[in-house]
Amino acid sequence: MVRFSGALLAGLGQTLVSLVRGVGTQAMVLAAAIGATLRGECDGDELKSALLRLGLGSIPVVVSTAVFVGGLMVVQSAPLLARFGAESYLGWGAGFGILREVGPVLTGLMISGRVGSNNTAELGTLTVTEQVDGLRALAIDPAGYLLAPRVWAIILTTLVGTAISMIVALLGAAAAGLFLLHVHPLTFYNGLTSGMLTWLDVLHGLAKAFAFGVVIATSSTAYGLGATGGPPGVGRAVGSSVVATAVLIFAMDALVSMTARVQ
Amino acid sequence: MISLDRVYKSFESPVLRGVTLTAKAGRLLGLVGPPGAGKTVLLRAIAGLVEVDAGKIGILGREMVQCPPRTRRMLQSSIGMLFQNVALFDFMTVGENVAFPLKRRGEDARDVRERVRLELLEVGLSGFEDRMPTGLSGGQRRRVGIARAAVTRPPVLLYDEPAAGLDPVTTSRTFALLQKQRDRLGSTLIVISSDIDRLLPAADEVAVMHQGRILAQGTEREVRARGDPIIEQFLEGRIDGPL
Amino acid sequence: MTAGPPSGSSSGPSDPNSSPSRRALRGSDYAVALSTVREGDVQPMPGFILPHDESRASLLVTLRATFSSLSHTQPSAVVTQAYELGVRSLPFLCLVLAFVGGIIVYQAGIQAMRIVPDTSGIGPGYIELLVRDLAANLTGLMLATRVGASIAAEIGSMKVTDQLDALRLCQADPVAYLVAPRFLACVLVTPILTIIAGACALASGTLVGALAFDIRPQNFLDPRFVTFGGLVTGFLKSAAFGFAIPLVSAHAGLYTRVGSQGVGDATTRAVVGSSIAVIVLGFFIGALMHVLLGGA
Repeated sequence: MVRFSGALLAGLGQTLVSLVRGVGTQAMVLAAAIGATLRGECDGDELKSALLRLGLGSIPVVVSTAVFVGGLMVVQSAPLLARFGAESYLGWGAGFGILREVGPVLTGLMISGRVGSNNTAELGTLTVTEQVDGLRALAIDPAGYLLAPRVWAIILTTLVGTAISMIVALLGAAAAGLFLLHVHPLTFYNGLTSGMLTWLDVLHGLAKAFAFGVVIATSSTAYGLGATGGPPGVGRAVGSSVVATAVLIFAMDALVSMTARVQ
Repeated sequence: MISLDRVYKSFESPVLRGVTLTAKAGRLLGLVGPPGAGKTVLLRAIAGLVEVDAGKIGILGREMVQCPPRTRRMLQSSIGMLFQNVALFDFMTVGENVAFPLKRRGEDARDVRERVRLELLEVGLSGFEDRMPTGLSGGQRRRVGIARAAVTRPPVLLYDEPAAGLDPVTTSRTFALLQKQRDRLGSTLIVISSDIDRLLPAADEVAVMHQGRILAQGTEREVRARGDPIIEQFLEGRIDGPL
Repeated sequence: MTAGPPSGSSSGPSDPNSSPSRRALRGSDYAVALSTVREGDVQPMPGFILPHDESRASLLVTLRATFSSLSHTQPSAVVTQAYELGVRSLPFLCLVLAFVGGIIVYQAGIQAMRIVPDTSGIGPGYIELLVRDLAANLTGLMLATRVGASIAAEIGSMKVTDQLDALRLCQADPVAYLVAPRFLACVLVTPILTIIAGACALASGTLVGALAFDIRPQNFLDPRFVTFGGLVTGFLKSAAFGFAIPLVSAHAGLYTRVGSQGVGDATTRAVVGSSIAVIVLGFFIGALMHVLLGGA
């Protein structure tokens, strides 16, 4: 038992150390992206292409997941609500959960999986095939060409994606509430807008979405650029990237939740 | 021993366009051609790893195309293959890699160890049993691949670039080894190599492949005598010509 | 064990190229070849799906292939994978669930203070949620990322380096060798991981309750809301996730596209597919149990 917890602590420590190291690299990525943009080097074509590929391509995934996430929220809280006879609170409860927590976090996770790993895979491939070095050899600073467009595209995607998913999730929750708890959509709507939820909660969620977008963008880029060892190395980079991003998303979530003491 | 009759295969575009080829029993057939000719796909089709769209592939008197699983198993057990990227199992040691085909047949453990030792000796890698593939050089990995392909003494041996990335001495040793396998085991070998200068002397027959078709097959003299400009340019490595 | 050469073979006394010693050698090779065909193996090796059949490749085929190779799996391989996928995921899992547990209790506490300043229901409510739903869902999602990526990357790398074909040529079914052990390991290990991670979430939730809202641990750790149905729901979910994640990821790995980006893409597909599977399955199981247990 002692040895097991020792091993667990060691593993925890290792995870944290690699996380801290990773965060440093990510900060550098962000700095490089900002620097390149301020210098006007952010490549417009790349930005457009990234927005299309990474952004538009992820909307279907985000939307379809959001429906089920909304339903899941209802399913989760159903027994508790039933116990307290608090079905009329469903609109408020679902709204609160989705806007502030589940919406941003789950959308963040899905985007990390879909867009983040795609980004890591692309950058990783460029790195292991030495194309990034090739760019440098041509005196093209990768930051403006590779980093900045992707970083901004991902942050924007996360923001927009979260906004859309919040709406869709609320719809999904309303539907699930109707079918499982016989809560009339009007009741749901009333609970939502009864005044206990304000635009501040929406802002809270969007602020998180922004933070998550930064995390996903920098993390996936950093891991992609650090890939070594051919196609297997790219796969490894993607794996490490999604894991680290997930932890960071939750860490950010805790940070924002507990410091943004909005009421 | 191995005969192909009008074999066709397309992935997104045609790769094999009516390949007709014969590898005589107990002979070494060299398969050469410019990149993209379809040589690797052809070899994999012979090994039954790729289903072709049309045509016949006869191996050891059985038909490989569309064959029932039983026949496929039997045929594949009679084939040893070296893949272009060697494909060593990186979660096993060198010794376990070479032993793998033998173990799959349920051979006795002591015999297996001895056979592995002999095979590694043949390729000049004695004592490498406990090394991991990731720690080996490209040439060493390729030689382990050859050992693994040949360890079951199969009647058919398919080699995809056995000497790629090897120094001149090791290359000569490798081709000598292939000839020994032909002579002592009586195996039929099909060898793809871009090292024309070394392959042609070692091969009994050569087949030149281009864009999914066999341009010519025969002894080196017969093939050259065809007067095909593509063949001539390729075999002599000239820069100007139809290629 | 030894059978003669199959009838209809082209090599025989009439073949001018064969000397008696060569012929004998080939005969015994046939014998060995035949002897390796075991009687129950008349089905095409399920892991033998050929590249050009990718368009016909579906998850169901992989599912069927995995199930039929379960009996051929080596227990030692399952144990190795259970360690790799299970034990090695534990630090990551516990970290995340601890975070989330803390956040949820915090948010719940704030809301409770906002409406009805009664914090007595938070602990029991949290435990009930954890057992029935949260532990399984969150563990599932995190495993979808870590385990999903890992399985797809490993199998995918082996595919692009032709190791899968090398296995097939040696009459080894890649599904039995690679997929089935990982599948079994996941099925067995996921519920256990869920319990352990859930315990971490419980611990952190209790801590937050105590530090932020002065809820005494004795009052917090009250399982009075937990029902048997809830336990079953949570268990079913974690089992379903342990089932779905390795299947989706292995499928992505088996059909990795060739090229430098192939493995990365396969990993992405695995993570996304597994995550979606977790969310969708989580919803349906939860809804089903809710209806069955007399909710609607």
